[in-house]
Amino acid sequence: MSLDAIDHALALRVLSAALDRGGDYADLFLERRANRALGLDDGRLRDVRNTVDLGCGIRVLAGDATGYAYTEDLSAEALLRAARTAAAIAHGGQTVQPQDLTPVGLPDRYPVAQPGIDGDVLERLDFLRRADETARKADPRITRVNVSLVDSLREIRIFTSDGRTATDRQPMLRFSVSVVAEAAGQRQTGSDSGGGRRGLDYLDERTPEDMAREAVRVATLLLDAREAPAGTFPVVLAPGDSGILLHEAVGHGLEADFNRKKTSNYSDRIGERVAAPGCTIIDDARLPGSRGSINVDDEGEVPECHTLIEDGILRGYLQDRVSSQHFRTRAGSGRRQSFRHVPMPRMTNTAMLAGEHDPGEIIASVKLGVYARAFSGGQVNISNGDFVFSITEGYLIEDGRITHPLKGVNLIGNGPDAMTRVSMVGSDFKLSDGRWTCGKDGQSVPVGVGIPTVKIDEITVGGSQA
Amino acid sequence: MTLASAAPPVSTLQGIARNVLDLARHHGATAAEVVLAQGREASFEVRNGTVDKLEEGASRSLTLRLFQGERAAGASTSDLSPEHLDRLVRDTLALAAHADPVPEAALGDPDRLASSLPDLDLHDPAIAEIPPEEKIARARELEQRAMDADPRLTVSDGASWGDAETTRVLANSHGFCEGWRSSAAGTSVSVVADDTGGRKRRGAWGSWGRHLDQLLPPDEIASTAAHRATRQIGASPIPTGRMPVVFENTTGGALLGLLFSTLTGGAIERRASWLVDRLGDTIGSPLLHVVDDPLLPRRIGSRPFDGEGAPAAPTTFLEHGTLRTYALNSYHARRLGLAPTGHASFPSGGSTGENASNLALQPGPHPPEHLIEGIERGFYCTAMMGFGFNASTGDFSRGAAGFLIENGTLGPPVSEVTLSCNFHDLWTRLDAVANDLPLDRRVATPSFRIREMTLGGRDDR
Repeated sequence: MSLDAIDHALALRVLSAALDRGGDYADLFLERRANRALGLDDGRLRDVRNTVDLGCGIRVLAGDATGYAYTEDLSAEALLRAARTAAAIAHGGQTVQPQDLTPVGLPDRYPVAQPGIDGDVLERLDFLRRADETARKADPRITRVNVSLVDSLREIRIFTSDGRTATDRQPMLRFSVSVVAEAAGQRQTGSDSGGGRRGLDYLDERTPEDMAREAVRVATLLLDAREAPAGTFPVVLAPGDSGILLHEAVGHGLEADFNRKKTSNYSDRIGERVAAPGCTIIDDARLPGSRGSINVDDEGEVPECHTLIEDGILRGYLQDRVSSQHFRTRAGSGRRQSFRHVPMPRMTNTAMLAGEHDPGEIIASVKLGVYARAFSGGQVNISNGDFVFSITEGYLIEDGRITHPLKGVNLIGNGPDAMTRVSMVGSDFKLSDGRWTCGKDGQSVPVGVGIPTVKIDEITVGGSQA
Repeated sequence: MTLASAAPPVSTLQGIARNVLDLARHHGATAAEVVLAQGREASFEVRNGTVDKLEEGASRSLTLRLFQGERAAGASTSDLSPEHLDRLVRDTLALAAHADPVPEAALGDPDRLASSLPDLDLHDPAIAEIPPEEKIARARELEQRAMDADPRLTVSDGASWGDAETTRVLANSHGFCEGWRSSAAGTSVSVVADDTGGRKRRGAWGSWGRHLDQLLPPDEIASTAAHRATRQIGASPIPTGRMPVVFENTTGGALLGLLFSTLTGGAIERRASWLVDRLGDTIGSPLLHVVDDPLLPRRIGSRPFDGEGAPAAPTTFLEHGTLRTYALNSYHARRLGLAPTGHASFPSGGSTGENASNLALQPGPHPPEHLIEGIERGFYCTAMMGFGFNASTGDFSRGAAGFLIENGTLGPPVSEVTLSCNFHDLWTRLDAVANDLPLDRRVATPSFRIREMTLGGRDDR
């Protein structure tokens, strides 16, 4: 089955049924997702898997309220039944008729010639074997290597009662290498991964060998890591993946659903200073090939670049359709995990723009602190603003120089409090390399982050050396 | 207004499963395994007294593993039409030809399949009978009671009702073809109190079970949510130090879950665990007694067999501090030269590993309030956040919030601190376990005390 299971005439019939109890707006979200996973497990291709998921979600809005139903059965009968289920959010008779459907013009932000997962297995297997071989040969302390490649294609088609239809084919590539290093009774893992909305040509630029060597470097480096300190220290964030700071400390709190409900610590604070001067933070869905980029959001809007914080001042929230009606502004950040899920305001690629400091000068300015280079993830408490992120590769900075590698450690701060302590912003902006997935209310979506080298004067480091 | 009679009888899915196995044999598979799941879910969210969101859906999935000798490939789909299934089987077999031969990845041994299924009472037919209006009324009542519980609450983050029913069947070419039907219902509420500096203190509480009569009364849920919000007002960091830490029974499950993840075959076989080569070793204090019991009637994690059809039975992973067994599916067991333990997880689109059923740190004799007695200065942990755990080394470091313990009583609320400790030290320093084990979670602990951890906080410099 394909997206063509629902034609315009059927879509209009279903939208009409969805509105017949008086909803203000309805939409259909048709989705087909196909994944192919190949996993080389200790040198053997053991995990070979195809996954296909297809279905349709029907949404009815009545004021701020949402009715939602989904079905995997795409027959007219099942779709109409789902439409009537979602319609129950409204109470009354039909007041809005669905408009005739006109396609929305979309940009092309995915540099992939022919999105699809049905490519040559042998070609892909060669990439896996190259990474496996490189990792094994790189260091005698490597005892285990796992490599995987996942290709996926998400095809979506949206029909809205205000007369829009949009179709997008969203490719995703992810290549991962994970190794274990053992020496003198110590054991450590190291991993690297990359990809994005790219084709296999990505692996010509960032080769399987590069990722294998990087995973080995991290695992063997950590064999010599020391206990991290505990307490408040200056922290220098390396460019790229450190953008996770923005995602947790700022991004989630600015998703407009929390602000509409006034449960975020950023509620009612537009125009206020929430970060140090020099901090400009954007959410940009346009970056070609980035994991978080999209041509169209899951509500049929073409997302652009949103300025969240400008030179330290809070400028705006990330809006989906429901919140944009509430705040009387534009939508464009409505995303969802699948047709089984209601869209919500979500981030795409969240980034801090480059400043003017030389990265070397930033590190040199720290007498005793931590340099954070790689992370396993982060989390935020939207209400009180406390956020954490976990460093997997970090170093001590002593007298302005990066010295010993540190064992994994958690950092904790409070959103606006930590962001006003950003004292230096580097000139070396870098985007993360296709590895982050953001979770919210049980829904996962792929995202990107980016940041230059940044210094935070004070943040709490959760080491064990007190 | 239901979408379909969504959780079908087990026999319906058994019929489909047998057809797929026949199809696999017909197209040349030498062995096959099929998992089918079909069900429905519904939820209602009320905010400020009106319905903010209603969601309803029906889904089904088929997960397949096909073998050609020692080569295997997998597939999953939601399309169960005969034409699609025929193509799926052929495509999957074609894919298997590319795989390497992995003899250890064969189906579970035929002599380890469950032969009789216990009745675990996991399905409550009354749940499907509740009219939507009553679910909405229940959520509305819960929200009202929570907001009324304390004048300091300023914003409602909503109350919800959710329920689901699922039928699941596992069949393989060794002749196994069994399944069961389960239900679940839950309700929760989330309320917010204002604090200084734009900070808000959110408190949430809920209750869920496989049967309606397992749900807590709304008053109890409402007052707990209100208390969990208001008790954080004024929270701030405390200075860095080493101190005893008491984990409230809401937080210990996360620690136990991490411990379990490092004793699964997946972690051990990849050598990515601090527990590699540690069977029979003492890795914690005698109070670290951890049992997994899939046979408890009416419980969230209960199951009559595991994701390979192996019979369910209680397992003692840690016997008074000693590591007795890993959790192993057939593949990892064969790779490690050990016997499988009945913890194979059910495949759901991804590759399989192991999971727990109802995993618990066994309760001790103390009422929870006794754990803080005698602590001169310590930390009472009521929430943790983040992902700071290195499975290979057992190094643990996460964000935390809770209360200062001063002279044996709870002091002011604390936020924005970190807790860290290596897991070997953490579990060795477990020196008291309370008697308040929650029964509505898959992975749970009573409140317990760790003699000393490092707390990272705010220091004046």
